[in-house]
Amino acid sequence: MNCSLPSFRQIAALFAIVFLPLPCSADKDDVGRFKAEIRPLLEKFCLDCHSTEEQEGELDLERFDSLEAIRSEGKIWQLVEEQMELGEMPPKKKQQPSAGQKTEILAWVRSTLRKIGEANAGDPGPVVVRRLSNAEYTYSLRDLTGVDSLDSAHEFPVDGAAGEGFTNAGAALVMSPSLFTKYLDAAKEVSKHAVFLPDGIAFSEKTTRRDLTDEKLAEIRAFYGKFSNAGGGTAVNLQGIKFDTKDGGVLPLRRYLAVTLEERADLLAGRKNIAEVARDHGVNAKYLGKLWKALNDTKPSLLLDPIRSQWRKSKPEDAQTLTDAITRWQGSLWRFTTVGHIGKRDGPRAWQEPVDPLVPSKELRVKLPTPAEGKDLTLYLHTSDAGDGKQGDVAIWQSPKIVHPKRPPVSLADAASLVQRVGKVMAAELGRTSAYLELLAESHRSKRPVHEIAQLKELDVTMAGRWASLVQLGQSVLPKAKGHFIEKHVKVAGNPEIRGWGSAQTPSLTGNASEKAANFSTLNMPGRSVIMHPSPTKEAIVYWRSPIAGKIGLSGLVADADGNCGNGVEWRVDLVSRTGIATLAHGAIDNGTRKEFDPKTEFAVLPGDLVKFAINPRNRDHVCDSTVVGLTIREVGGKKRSWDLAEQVVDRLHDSNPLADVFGNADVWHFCASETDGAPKSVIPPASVLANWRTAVIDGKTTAELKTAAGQVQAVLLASNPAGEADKSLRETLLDWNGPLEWGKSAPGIKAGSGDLRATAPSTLTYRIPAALAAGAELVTRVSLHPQEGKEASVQMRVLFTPPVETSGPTAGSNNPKGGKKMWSDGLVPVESSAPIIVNDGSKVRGRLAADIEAFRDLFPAALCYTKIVPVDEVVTLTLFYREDHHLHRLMLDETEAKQLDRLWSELHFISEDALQLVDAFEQLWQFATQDADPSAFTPMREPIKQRAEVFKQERIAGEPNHLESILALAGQAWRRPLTIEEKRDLRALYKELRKEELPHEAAARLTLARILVAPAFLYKLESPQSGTTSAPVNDFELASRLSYFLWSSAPDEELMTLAAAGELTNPDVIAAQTQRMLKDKRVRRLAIEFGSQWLHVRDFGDFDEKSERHFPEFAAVRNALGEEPVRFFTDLFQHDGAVLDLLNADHTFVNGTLAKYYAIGGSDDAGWRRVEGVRAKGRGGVLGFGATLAKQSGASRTSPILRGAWISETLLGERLPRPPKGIPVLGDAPPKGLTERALTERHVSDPNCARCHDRIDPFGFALENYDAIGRLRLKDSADLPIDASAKLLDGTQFTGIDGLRDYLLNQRQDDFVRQFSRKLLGYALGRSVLLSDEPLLDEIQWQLAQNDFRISQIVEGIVRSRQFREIRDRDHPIK
Amino acid sequence: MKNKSHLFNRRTFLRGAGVTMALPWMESLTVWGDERKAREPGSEAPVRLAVLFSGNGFHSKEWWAKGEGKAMELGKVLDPIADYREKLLFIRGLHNAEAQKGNIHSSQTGNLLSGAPLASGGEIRSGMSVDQLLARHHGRSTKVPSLVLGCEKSNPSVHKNYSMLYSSHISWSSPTTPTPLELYPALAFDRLFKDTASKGDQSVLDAVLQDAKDVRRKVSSLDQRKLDEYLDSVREVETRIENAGKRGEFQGWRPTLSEPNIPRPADGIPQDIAEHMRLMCDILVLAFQTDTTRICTLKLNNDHSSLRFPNLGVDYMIHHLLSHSDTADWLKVNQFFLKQVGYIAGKLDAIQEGERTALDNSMLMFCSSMLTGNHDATQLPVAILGGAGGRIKGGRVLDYKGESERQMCRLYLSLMDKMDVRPGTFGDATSMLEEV
Repeated sequence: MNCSLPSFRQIAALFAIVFLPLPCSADKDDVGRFKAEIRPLLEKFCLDCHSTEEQEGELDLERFDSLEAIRSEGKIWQLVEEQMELGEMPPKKKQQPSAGQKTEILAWVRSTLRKIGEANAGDPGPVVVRRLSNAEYTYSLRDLTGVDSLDSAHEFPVDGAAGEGFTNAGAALVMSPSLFTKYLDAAKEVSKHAVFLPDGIAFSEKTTRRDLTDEKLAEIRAFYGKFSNAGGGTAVNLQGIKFDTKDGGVLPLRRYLAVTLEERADLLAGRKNIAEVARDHGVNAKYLGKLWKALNDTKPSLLLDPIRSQWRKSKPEDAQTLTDAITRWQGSLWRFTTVGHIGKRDGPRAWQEPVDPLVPSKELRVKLPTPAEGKDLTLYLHTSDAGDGKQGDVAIWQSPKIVHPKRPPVSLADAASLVQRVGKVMAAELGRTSAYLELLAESHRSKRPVHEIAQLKELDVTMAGRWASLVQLGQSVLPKAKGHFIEKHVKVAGNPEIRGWGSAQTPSLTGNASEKAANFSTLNMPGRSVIMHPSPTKEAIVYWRSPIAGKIGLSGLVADADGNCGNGVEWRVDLVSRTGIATLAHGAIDNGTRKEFDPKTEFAVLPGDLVKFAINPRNRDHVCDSTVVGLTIREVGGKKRSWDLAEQVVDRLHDSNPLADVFGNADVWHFCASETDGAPKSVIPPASVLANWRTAVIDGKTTAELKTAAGQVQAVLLASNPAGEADKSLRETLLDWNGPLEWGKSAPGIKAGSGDLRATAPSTLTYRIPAALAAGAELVTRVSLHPQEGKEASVQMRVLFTPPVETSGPTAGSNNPKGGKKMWSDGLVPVESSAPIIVNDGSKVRGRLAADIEAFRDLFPAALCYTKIVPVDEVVTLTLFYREDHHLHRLMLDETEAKQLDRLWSELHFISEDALQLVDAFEQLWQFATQDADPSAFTPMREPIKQRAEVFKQERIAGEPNHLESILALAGQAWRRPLTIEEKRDLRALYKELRKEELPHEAAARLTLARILVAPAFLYKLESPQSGTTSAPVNDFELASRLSYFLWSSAPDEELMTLAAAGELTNPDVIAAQTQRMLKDKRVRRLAIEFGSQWLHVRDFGDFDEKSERHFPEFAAVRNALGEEPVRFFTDLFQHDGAVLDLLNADHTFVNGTLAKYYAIGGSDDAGWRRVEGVRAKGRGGVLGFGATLAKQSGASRTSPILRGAWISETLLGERLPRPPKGIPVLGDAPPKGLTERALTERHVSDPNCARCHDRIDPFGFALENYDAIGRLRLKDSADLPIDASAKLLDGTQFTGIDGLRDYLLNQRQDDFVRQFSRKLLGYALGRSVLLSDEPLLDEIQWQLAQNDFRISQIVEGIVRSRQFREIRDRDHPIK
Repeated sequence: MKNKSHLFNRRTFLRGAGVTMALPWMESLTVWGDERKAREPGSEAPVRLAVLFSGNGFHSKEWWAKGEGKAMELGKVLDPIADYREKLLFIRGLHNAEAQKGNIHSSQTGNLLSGAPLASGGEIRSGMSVDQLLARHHGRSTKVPSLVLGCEKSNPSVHKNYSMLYSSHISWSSPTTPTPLELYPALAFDRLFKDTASKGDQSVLDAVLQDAKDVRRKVSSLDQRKLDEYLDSVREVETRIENAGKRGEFQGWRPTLSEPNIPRPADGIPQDIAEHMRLMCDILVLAFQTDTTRICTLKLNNDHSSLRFPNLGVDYMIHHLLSHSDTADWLKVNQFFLKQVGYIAGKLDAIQEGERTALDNSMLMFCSSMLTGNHDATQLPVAILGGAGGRIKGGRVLDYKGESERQMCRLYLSLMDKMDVRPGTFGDATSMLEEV
């Protein structure tokens, strides 16, 4: 190879020459030599064709009759050199110069070219102003906004390449109307990402208010999350509010306690301080300090002392036990409210509210548990000293008694003897069952009053009365449906097909006649359905009045129509007949659930009997109780008709109430409501012996028959285990103390006790209560301190069912609601402690206890902050975002963090505009409340909401100038220089003009932003040349842009801009230092892509779509990884200042799992990107081994030694190859079989015309035949023939395979390779072709490289320090 | 070229084009053409020009035509347009002298429609192409001056000292501005039918136009030319906004279709090349039918194309490499491209515009940068379908082989003449092909 480059020794010499002015004498010598020696040779060998007349190939060499002329057109002489060197000229068929003549001409041309270069060395060259490339545009926008997901140029046309083959050369970067439209659209799209904040503009990935709000919420939650237990995730349930300790804002106590236990020794010994410990354990120092101080404080505290003593005994693993003890008290001293209504009348004041366990006295009502079968209940009245250990705490249990709703109260003292006495009465009276029944039958027959007959027959009058009301023979009349709705609801929710009956509020019944489901308010009403809604005190009822005599079966459905809220409902289906009431089905459903019922039994009915279907509120809470009801009644025999509630009534709902059925029977359906508690309950099980007896009486059976029936009843009641479910149930009911026969009231001589009990703490009084007495009853007493002896006492008094365990401190109770809500607008339900501390108001001890409790609460809030932020604990809420984090602030945050949190919240409010939204929300809530609640409860909120909205509007207006300022600042960044006063004025003027065009503030601001982003100053790399014809340095800001677009493909960052503003960037050492900084930055990846990948022709390899899917189905999956490898390689090379020669001989590369597998390098398939060493042994390392380049320089299905060879020659070595000839032979049809891919290539180029060039390039490609068309190593080629990877170059050099090729390039072509790399990087940096006048700089760089281990930064620094990089040609520089 | 006066003329013309960039079009154009007065509304349909291009030439033995009218015989490549032979003008033997200099592929393509010399060595310079010259003349009559579409991404590299931009662009709006191609069917559709301008746009455009003017004063003349691309682009967008809603008032003819009759194509580029081409063909037809533009260039693929054709079962070799052979698959691929031409012709021929069809009122020119895949551009393949409003007689074969004045640019002068644009000289031609 005839190398045109000087050796290193020569370069050193040249380097010296570069900076010397050319002596005039040399010039004169040159002129002489040209005229005397060279011109004649040209005339002889060249001018025949390249005369002014002929101009073969548009080349006129004749006109160069002076050295001056030659120097002004060096480019043409470069071509001459190239053509001669390649042996292309003179053409083979023409007369050839002798070897000596050729050498002479070439030497002269070269030295002349060098002199031309030297004469203009450092010329900035013609660099046309240009727009940003698509990549630069995208990166600039991303850096400007900080939004890395922006891909604004996604649908732009692909940029062209020019200059040294990169897409950053002005000539190829054009503009057109359609492209400008795309820029305008893209700018508007980017402006949508602007987020308006109180103090300026920020950018976000998101564009909608909702998404932005969510983003901000996530930021606040993330902030809160930092102070929670990172390893948490345990669900905690505090009075119905469920938390996750990880993100629920719960104080991560266990963690802190564990730290204090683990580090106790070191902290106590002073070997570590709190800050160190906090840092080591990753916990908050401020709180750890407070906790540590509290645990070690010696000041007595009722609540803390037991904790402290437990802590002193604990080991690190006991942290949980300690935590549990504290958590119990947290549950006792705090309560959580529903935050949706904070601010309404009697509403909660905060989410987490303190509960005071100190009371002077308390009424205790303790539900007695049902003891095990046959056992008595043991009860302990326990009085403890509340942990303060004070002697002489005297307290009173005021008249403790057992209270049952259906019996007179029993004094605790009398309880034991009661059972015995009742038992006697029962035994006697049950034996007289037939007698009582005969009495009733007689009374029924004779219409004589029951008490008269009882007295006559010496039966107990009271007992007879109970029997009478049990069997209800007086009710053997037609049952009646009562409480019919009279008010019609039309067009419910504006829908004419939905109508109903009922009160304006509740209860009500509604039918949907449409096939379509209807969604209104919070309801979801299915098509063709009926819903019922009870009131707190009234159940909603549908009656079906039987038009037939016979048997029926029934089935139905209860489903919540309003799953958003409420506590579910209770429901019941009764058969109300002449013989009494029987409950056929009943139950309760939870919120959002449904229940289908289908009792399999058949029931006898007579005309006029009623099936009653009732919906009740649960616990009187009727909120959201709308319930879809279905009821189908089937006639078992007869006509087998069926009555379906919805089908029969929804179309005719308003015809009448009651409503006829569809078979023409009048008054079958009744829509009613009645008092919940007033409904009589069935007691006689249908089909039981008593029911039979009753029917017999009504049917007027004979006395003998009645006697038999009565006897059966008595037998059942006396038998211990009767047969049949109905009779078992009957016996259970009738023997119940609280049943219809009211045995509990029967024992004579019992009256409520009145004795108070005195107790000195600590003490326990024990009582045994018979099971029959305990069932369903509660113990009621009032506890207080002894008026004289207990004035300064403090005790806890509790009713227990297991023997008390003596504890050292007070016991934490739980908080129970006192009463309930009637309407949803009602205020906060008060709570009381189950284990209060009894202490007199105004006593000293109370003050001390209160202080202890307060201190405990301060240190251990149950929650640090409300991380939900958006309350979802009420149906309707008047708080969109609720902030409660004062405990977090107080216990953990430092000043900076507190400010940061405030800022986040302020931004949340600004972005979400919740203050404005609440105005509408309030009106909606008010309307809601007027329907079925008390709207006045919300009156206190109206004004504050209005005021906040007003304040917000002012804030927003106040923010407008800030936004404009922000936009001006952004313009400076976008335009990469400070704005002039006029530009600022014009931007403001544009904004004002847009406002005048009636655009709202944000729209006008966004459009102003878009204007900045389509301005030439953003889209173009603008530089202002001096007037004149030489060149001058660009200014600091222009230099900053040159540097950042070179190394980062983007606008300068703040540091560069600051240096530029200070005028320091023009200092070569400063720019060199900045270059070093920028090369280490991660943004240098862009240089790797835009320069490295582009140089190797593998940029955007992920989109490379030229492989046959039939031959290489696996290729698509590995494309991205193949394309990423060079990017990582170059990034690493730049960041770590690797050697240029690494590009050839690196023994490392970068792979992920996919690529490692593809390259058979090993490692797991799903591994991430990593650097691997020793890859040369696996056929990789350096650019020669990149799968991407090997695949790129191949055909769709076969390798191409030609493409690979040309790539090595042109791309890596910078050789100028002759142009392929025009009129090459077209190949015939398919090639013969059995040829290797190599042989195929050799056959194609066997034509002598082709061989001339292919012999030059193909051998390089042959050496890489061990790689298939998608870059994998292979042993056989696609024709399944063995590979021949040997190569013989034109100059006779021989080598084999990638290793041979690499050695050849490294040893024999190092200069060419390094020169080519430097040339390409220089061309990329300057955005133009490399010129003759750049050759001295390349010489210098090459020399510097050799002195500095070929460190790549030498090239970069050489470039950025060069005149061509730092200067610009003057405005009037002549264009050739 | 030895005729120096020609060279001189061409250069003058190019310089002229450069200078006029900053001027409103009409003022500068009257210099060249004896422009006819705009037709009255409701008069006959306008003549449209569509240029379809595919790179790398055709099967060396199957691109030919002989005979006349119904009896015309066609090579196999042309099978897909055989139905329209009576509307076909087949031209053989034309060439582009500049394309025979310089490199292969890229420098045979970048000047196909201009005949201009191409700059090498990393520079970009060609000449304004015939479609864009027509757009300058007729552009104001329609909403969109011209449509430049493509089905293959351009190639961002430099090859043998020539930018591959040349391989990917036949349409040039100035000697230094290859017209960016629209590859996205949906965006091409939007360009025709979506009026994106919103309130305030005009103010924004005015502002940036002023920016550009300010900057322009401070830079070199070379840079001024670059900024003129920007200025012209902004001005055209402004004009389009001004003209929005004024359709009919200025276009002088009522098209047979006022709204698109096909849905907006899906976003993105179709995976399947056949689908991609078909959508672009539909858009071209729609543009003509609605008279949204009268000039359209559709580059079906690049010269030096990398397309594969899995849809034809030919995916073992990319288009470019396939072109170096004369295989059955190469023929199949050629026919696939002709099918697109036939598809457009068929659709246009089905649109009745008065007595003629839209095809009769159009010129659908299909060409390539070389005759066969051997880089030989000594003669160029040209097939023109359509009657140019009765001004071109179909069913003929014209052969200029062996003649001295066989410049492609003479054909362009003829085509421009059919659209009443008569610059006198164009590229390296000074006279029309009379026979056309």
